[in-house]
Amino acid sequence: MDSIKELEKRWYFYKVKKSLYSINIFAFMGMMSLASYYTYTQVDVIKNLFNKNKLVAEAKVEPRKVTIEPIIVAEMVEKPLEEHVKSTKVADVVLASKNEGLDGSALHVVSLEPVIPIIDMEKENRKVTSTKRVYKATRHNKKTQRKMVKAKASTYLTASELSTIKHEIKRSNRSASRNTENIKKINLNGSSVNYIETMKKKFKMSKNARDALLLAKAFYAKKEYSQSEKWALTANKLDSNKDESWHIFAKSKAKLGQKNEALKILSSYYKKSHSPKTKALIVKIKTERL
Amino acid sequence: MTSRFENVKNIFIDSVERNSYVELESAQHNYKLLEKSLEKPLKMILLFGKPGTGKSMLLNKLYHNLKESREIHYFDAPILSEKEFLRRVYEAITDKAVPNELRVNFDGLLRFCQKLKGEREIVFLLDECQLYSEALMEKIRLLSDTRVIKFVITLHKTENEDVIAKQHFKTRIWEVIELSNASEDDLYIYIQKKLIQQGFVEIGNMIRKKDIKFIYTYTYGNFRESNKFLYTLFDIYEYFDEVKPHKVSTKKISKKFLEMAALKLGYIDG
Repeated sequence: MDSIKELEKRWYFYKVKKSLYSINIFAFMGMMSLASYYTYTQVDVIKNLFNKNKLVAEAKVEPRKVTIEPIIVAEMVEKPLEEHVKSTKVADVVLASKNEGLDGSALHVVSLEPVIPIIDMEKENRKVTSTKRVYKATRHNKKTQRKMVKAKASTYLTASELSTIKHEIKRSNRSASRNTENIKKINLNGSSVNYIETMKKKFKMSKNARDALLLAKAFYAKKEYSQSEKWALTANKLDSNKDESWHIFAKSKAKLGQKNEALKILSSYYKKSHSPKTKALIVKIKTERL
Repeated sequence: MTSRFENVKNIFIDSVERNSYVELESAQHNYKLLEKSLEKPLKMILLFGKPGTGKSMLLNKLYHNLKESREIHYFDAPILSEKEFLRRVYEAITDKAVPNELRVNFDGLLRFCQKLKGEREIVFLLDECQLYSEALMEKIRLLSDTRVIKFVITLHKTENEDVIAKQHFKTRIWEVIELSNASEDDLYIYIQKKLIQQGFVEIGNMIRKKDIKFIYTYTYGNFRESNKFLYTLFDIYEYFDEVKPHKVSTKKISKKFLEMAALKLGYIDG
């Protein structure tokens, strides 16, 4: 009888041991599933990166640097501008830029859409070839010039003929410059709401400093200086070595009436970069010729 | 007042009594095979299997079924002394007692058997032959060579004994019947039949297939082990029935009691 009592006690111990074992197993399983979920999410990000690279390669678009790790980005990007901004009211802007999707998690998102080529006329100094009219005009202009050169080379012209030719050259040059202006206008028309929206979408996917800078430029052109300031800051955060991000930011500040702030920022950047463009801009702002 | 479970547990006491024999399909097949083998002009028949697979039960059943129809003798316990063994064989054949001071001469017994050739056919059932010495086994073989005595012997199948079995029997024309453990279904039938045969239908209804599965997990269908398990189980039932009857359900076998039985027998660690 006593042995059965003893056996019952042993059975209770056995049950406790068994329950503890089951709890351990469940805990282990839970940890394993959490770990696998975490791994899965990481793998997803890497997959997206590969897909993006593949798409970019297929579209024969220049491969761009894609930022994956927010920590690495944070280490790479110098933030002097942000430091300056902290002393001013730009803290609000930083918040606003975060709302735009600049937070750490958003940086994981990689664009899967083909890259829309953006032509920056001022920067790249491209030839005017976008419209037939311009093309024709240029061609005509070139033809005329060629003719004139030929004429000049092969024949001796009279003074009146020479003045006619010069006049002709001036006229054609003027028409060419007018066409260029037209192009510029067309380009500026491109900085419409649609352009900005497209760029915003593009930036949301790419998180590229260049796109942010283009947005800053577009807003600046539209005289929306607070927006241009914000986007310049965004571009600067992503790549602080771009002169233009500093320039647009300072210009926007100046336009918003914060001339001293703008000068302070540019001066500190000039100390570091020694960029003549920056120096010129400082002079421009000082002399209020912006 | 005795508990109803006391009688139940007693039916699982390991014994080779004829009335405790349970007719299973596999056992039936082996029995028929054994009967047929006895009809053949074989000298020896070997029943081979692990302990608790029902070898002794089969011999016992064969003896009781055939003792009326033919000359059959059953040595249920092994006779280790050669002198005693020869004396018992002589007495069985001649039906005469040998005085204690005399001993049976093996050559004389052999010559006697040879004289009986064609007249008589005597069957000896020898259990637990793994305990017999090699010399005695050799004498058994020589006696069987007379074709007057047939031996049905049982051997345990263990690693070493398997080798012995091979050495002794492989080269001779003997019938070998190998017995194995019961399957899960066979075990279920075995337990049910055993309970019903003894009139414990209610207890039989308490036992479900999943209880058998639990028992089978530890006993692997070995009859001796399973009997031991059930004996322990109903021993526990008996205790609780007397001390804490409110804890005893008559509808199904308690998982707790099954686990306690397994603990007691050392199948699981407490």
